[in-house]
Amino acid sequence: MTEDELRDLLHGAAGRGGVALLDDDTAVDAVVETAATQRRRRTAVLAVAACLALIAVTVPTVWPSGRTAPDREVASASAAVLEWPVRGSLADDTAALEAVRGLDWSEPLWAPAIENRRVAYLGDVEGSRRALVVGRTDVSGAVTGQWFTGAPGADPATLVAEGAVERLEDAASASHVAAPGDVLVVLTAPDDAVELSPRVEVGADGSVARDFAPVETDDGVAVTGVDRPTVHGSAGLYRVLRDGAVVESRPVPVSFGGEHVWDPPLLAPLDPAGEEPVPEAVDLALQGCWRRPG
Amino acid sequence: MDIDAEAGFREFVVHRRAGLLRTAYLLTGDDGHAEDLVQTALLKTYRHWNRIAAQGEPIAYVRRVLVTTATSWRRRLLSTEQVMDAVPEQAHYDRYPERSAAVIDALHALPPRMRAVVVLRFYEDLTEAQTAELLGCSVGTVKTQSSRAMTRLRSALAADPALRPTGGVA
Repeated sequence: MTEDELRDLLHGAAGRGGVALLDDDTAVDAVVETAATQRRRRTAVLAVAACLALIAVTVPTVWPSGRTAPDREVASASAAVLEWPVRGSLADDTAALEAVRGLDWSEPLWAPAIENRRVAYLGDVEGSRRALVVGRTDVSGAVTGQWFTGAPGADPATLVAEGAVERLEDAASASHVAAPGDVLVVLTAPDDAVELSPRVEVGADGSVARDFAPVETDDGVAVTGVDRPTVHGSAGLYRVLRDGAVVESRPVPVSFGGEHVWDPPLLAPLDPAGEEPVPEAVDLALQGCWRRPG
Repeated sequence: MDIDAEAGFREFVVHRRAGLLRTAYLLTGDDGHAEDLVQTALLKTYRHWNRIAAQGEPIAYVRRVLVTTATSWRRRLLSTEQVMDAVPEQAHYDRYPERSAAVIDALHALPPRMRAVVVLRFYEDLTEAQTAELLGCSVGTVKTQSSRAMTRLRSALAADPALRPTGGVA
């Protein structure tokens, strides 16, 4: 078979085919319509993608409960902390305030010079005397704060630092729960409100949510009890509202040590003939449950 | 695409579609697949019609799309094969009408790329260089594929009893 013969064969065979269901105009119409449909689909996909990107960018800045949202408020709050009025039952006791300003901080590196310190709170609450001292450090210019605690009625000069030094970039400062039964003191700007969620609520359908209840706040000072804090922290979460919007949301700080551990619950075996659980295993399981409850 | 461009595309289809369908038939061996193949190639062409038309002869682009699409298909249209009630009569020149079915079978037995070389070289009458450019390979590859295809086709067609009466195939 020569190449020319192959050409003849191919042309002959090709002529037997080439039969189309659609005529030329209908075929063009189908192409145009298909192209338009694909173009509309691509446009719709791009529009959805653009909307999702827009939502991803804008929601964190406008969502009222987001921690990243109040950047502007935080920036102003870190300076506003130094302008807070002195509050607490000993706010007018100049000698007491002076004594508290000179107390030792838990982390001297982050302690402002004494002349740069000012007392934001000094007073008695249920079960203890508390003080919050704030100031701008020489190290980085950051505004830091330190809570102090002592027995009710204790000499202000004998109060001791409680918890770590706090960098006050937030709109509030809360005292640590230093022992089971201690109250939580949250200090905010005078017109702010405070709400507390004691724990995560798990619904019957498995959904997880928190319910926040207002805490009575007087001149920016909120004092409330805390449910079952442990050495690992508390399931509680407090938040600060300014003009109805959440500007700060933080876990209830806990700083007491192992000597205050609550007794673990008594667990009876489901099988009456079974053995008692090993105490260490129970403790380990409870730690896992309570470590980060919310 | 504006009205003038779409009119140009329509005119191109009217003039060239019949030839494309025949080429597609040789590449696929089936009318339904051939029509789908041409329609796919035309859709890809339509998306870039303004650029393709501005470059000159659009048939080269369409032919390239036709061949590359045909060689990449894995008979995925088998499940959507369409059945025609009757095949319309078409006037065409067939010097060996009794052999055409055997030619299609022999073509279909070739690997897709080798089949494309045969169709482009001996049906579309492209040069080896044009075929190589269209398939994106070297001229040497086209020569090799063409030679092997001729050997296979000679063997296949010589073995077919339908071809023996004419005595033209050796």
